[in-house]
Amino acid sequence: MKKTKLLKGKEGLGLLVGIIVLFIFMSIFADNFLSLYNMHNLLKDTSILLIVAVGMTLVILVARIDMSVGSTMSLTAIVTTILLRDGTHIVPAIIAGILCGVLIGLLNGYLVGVQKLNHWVTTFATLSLGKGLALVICDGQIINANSDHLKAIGHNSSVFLGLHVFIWIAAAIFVFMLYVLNKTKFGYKLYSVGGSEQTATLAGMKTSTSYISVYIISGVLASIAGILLASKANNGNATIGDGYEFNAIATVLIGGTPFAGGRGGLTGTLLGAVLISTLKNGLRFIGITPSLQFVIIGVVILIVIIVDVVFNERRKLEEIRRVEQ
Amino acid sequence: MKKKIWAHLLRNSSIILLIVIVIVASLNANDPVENFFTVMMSQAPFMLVYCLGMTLAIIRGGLDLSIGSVAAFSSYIGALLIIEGYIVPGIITAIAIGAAIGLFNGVLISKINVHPFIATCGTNWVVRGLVLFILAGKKIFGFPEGFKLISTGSIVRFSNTMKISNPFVISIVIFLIVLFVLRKTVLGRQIYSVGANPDATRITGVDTAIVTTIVYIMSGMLAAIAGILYAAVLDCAEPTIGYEYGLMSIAATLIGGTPLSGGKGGVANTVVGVLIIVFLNNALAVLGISHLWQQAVFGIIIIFAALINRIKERQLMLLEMY
Amino acid sequence: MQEKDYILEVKNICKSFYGVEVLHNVDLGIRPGEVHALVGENGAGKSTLMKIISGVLDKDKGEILFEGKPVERMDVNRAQDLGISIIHQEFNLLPYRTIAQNIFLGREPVKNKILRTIDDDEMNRRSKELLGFLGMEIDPRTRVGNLGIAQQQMVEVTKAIAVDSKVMIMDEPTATLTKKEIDMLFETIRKLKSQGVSIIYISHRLEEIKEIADRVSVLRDGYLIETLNIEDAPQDLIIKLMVGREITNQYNREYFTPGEEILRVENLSSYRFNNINLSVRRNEIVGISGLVGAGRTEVVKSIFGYDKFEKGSVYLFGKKYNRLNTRLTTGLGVGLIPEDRKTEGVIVTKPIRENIVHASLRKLFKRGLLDKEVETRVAEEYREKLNIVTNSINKLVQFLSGGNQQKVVVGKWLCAECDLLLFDEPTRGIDVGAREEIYEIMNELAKEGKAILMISSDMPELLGLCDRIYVMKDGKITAEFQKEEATQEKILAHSI
Repeated sequence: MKKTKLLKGKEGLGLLVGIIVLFIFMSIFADNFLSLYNMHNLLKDTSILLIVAVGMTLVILVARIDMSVGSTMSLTAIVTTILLRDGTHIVPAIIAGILCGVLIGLLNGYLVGVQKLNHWVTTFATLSLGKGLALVICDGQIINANSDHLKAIGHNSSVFLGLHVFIWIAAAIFVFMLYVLNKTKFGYKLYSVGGSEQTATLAGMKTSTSYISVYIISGVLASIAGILLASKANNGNATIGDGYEFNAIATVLIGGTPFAGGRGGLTGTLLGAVLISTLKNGLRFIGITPSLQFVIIGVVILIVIIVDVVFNERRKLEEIRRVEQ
Repeated sequence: MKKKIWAHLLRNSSIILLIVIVIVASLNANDPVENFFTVMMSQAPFMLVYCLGMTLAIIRGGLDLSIGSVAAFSSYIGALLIIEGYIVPGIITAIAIGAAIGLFNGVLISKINVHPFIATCGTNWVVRGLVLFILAGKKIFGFPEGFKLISTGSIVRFSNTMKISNPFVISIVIFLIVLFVLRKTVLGRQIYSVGANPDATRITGVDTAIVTTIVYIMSGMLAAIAGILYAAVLDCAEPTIGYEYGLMSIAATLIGGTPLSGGKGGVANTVVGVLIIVFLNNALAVLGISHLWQQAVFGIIIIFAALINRIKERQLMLLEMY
Repeated sequence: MQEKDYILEVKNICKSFYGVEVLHNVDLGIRPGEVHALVGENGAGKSTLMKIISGVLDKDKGEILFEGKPVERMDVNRAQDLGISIIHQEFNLLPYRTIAQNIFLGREPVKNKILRTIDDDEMNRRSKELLGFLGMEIDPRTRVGNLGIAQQQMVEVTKAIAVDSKVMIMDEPTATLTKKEIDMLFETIRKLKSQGVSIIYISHRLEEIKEIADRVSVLRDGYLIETLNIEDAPQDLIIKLMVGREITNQYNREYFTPGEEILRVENLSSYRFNNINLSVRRNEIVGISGLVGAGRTEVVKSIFGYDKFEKGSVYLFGKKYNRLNTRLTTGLGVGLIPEDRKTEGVIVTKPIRENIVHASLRKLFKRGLLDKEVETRVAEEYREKLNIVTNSINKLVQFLSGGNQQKVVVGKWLCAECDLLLFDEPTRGIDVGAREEIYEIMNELAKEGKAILMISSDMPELLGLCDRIYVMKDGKITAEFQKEEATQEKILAHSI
């Protein structure tokens, strides 16, 4: 019931209320939940999820999906850590990692945007391609990067103006993409293509370039998130990004960007990311076992998806009705 | 005439691919015939069973990603009963659980209109979580002899050396039942027509939601059966059963020639697809390629199969116009 | 008038869809600064012609000249560059974007060339100006989805005038506007005209044309019949030219004394139609006439149980129903031959055989098992009966002509032993020869005692086939005519 309200809220107001309720709930049940240390940790977790979800928002905005972000994170983490382990400098290692995201995004974009293959199955296939490559490269092992530079990014002490570097990176990406989406021709085009492919085409736009670019952006952002994840522990493994696609999709839906596309935006996604991270953090804090956390998060996500679909259909019907009368 | 040959070649391209693979494989293997049979007997049966469910869902115009976790969950619950000696109730319970999860998927998809991909992926997540939570990494093993007979025994035997293993027989029987339902019954015809054109089918008075739900129930039951078979063969029920089922079954169905667009293809194609996948899997092993390559290879196979199916459909349409 | 004086000219334009020619050698010239009205019945080819001019559709033959120079490849961007804009009949607005964003869709003013930042202030300012030009005092930052339908239409108009166009096409711009808004629109048209913009104005409302147009061209069945100065074109002449097709005896309709009443609709209402009352008896063909969008299809689909209705009741075979679904209606013996044959009528990727038994699987195969022999026999029977031209009943339906596809749909319902058949545009996109066959089949069905309710935009067809005709306008039935009293002029007068 609570979730329904969240989505109906006026431009994220409901979401804010949801977050506050969750905070109150968690602080009652978990003693140190509201501690400064945990709040900082929570923001760190939110940052990584937010970076992935920003890319996912753009993809869902054009009425597509990207299931491959989780495996892109893993692949990037593996590639970067393995290069670092073998003594490569941090900059080329990171560039190589991000290149993985570009390539997977390009492949997705080409297959979905140009070849017009089913976007669900295509990105599902690239998911297993990415994860498979990650497994092959690391040979199923955990890769210890042994890099002071990488460690420096993720370490708890790498703080700038009181906030962790992760938070600054996520904030920079978020603000930049917010600007791009709301202020530039590129962003406007995404809203048009997602709103109605036909209307966009009739206005003389080429839609395939939009699809390709959103998938590349999504891939790159997933790569960045993957590197940050790897830097946290200074190592990488092939399951590091597992499940992130689901968390990201749920974040975007909760944030008010529906599967139908053409509507919503990044502000909602930010709130969605805070909500999902709070839920995860809180469950951990209350002392629920990881596998039960997994189930609870899954159920929550499923409910969010169902509510999104039901709510959207009703809204569509109401709109037709209103226009006709 | 030339066009007819082309059309035949295109339509049967997956069989041709299988033949080529078999030839190449037998040229390389030391004892091709025995190798061929051992691989087929040991791997193809389970795979065929859960791929049949995926094929049904794809023909209906969707897909079912929950089969892997359904297999794990239902076989585990079944195993809890079986280990106490209740073999038949255990098997029935497992299948009933598969059916129940299928029902849930079916309702989500047909009544609430959630996209089949996201609905079944979500169910997969939750059910897998339940498996991990309830099992907590434990394995159940040491089943009664009667249950193990499912895998070790053979009902069909020609002589002491020439016998066909039970999983093989079971999978063939299930395959024939599904084939019969799809080809010879009104329900089968309705599954195809819902996949090909749901609007036109609804206009003829068919309750498309019920047809869809039945498809997912069948898919869930088949996944449960695959899980039970697997547990019987391994003599063990474990939480990791079925991780690769979704990926493998999509690959097998697509490469067999059942397109994602729905309403076309069939389970006979899937048999060919399963054999191709089993051979490829085996080839990876024979060539000394690590099993870690599996996921990457099957991801690529799905992409190629989807691309080829589309080209094939287009070409076939052009050829059949005259 | 010399040719070079035309700003836009099309010559010998031909266009076919699925083998049916919808435009035949159309010639049309537009002078600078004129309002040129284009009239014709539904399906006369007006919208198709306009889509070709604005680059949405490709022509099959002919040429387009702009300012005397031939345009080789016309597409949407080219047309925009030349200064041809179009207001489509269906909305092309994004409901979740603001008015300004919709007006400048794809042409947003940019203030920073590198980042391609959009100049929002400039966009809103110019939108406000343009809206003011149309007499609309509304904040351009309002979301289009929050506007009423008339205001949305005005946004479409604004979108068109935002381009510096030389030729503006308006496809039924007033269909949803109130009198006040129409006056405002006409004021704008006059202003544009005085600035030298030419306007091609498509409308069914002849009074409007009288008021605003300089010249009028009449299209009928894809032929351009005549272009007249408005002074030489009184309303009755235009109507006569529009409906000028002779009613030939291709219908061969025999009339019978109607039998029992099979369908009665009482006070049926939904958000698309209001208070519909009608009835159909055995041996009768009853027509529904009206413009596209009058709510005809919605009424029929509600009777069939495919769409939901809100109020009222439907009596089928004497029994009253307040709620229907397709399972129920098909079980009772009602069949729908939908307008959109390919997506709702047949399964194009399946053979004729399967399509014919599609609606009667449960009836033919009581135990749930298919019998290919029975299936083949039944399919052959209907192929013969309906004269479906094919070399085999195993041929996929997508390779049949429109007429033969339609026969498959009819066969599907005959096979299901339907007594009440609902035809929605039975001959749309079907060539003349096959049309006659469809008419013959319908006549035969009426003779056998079936009841038929048909929607058609083809008036001669309605007059030639029907016992009675209902006329619908804006979701209401405005008139009912017996066959003796019905004329094309009367029907048209009640539908526009």
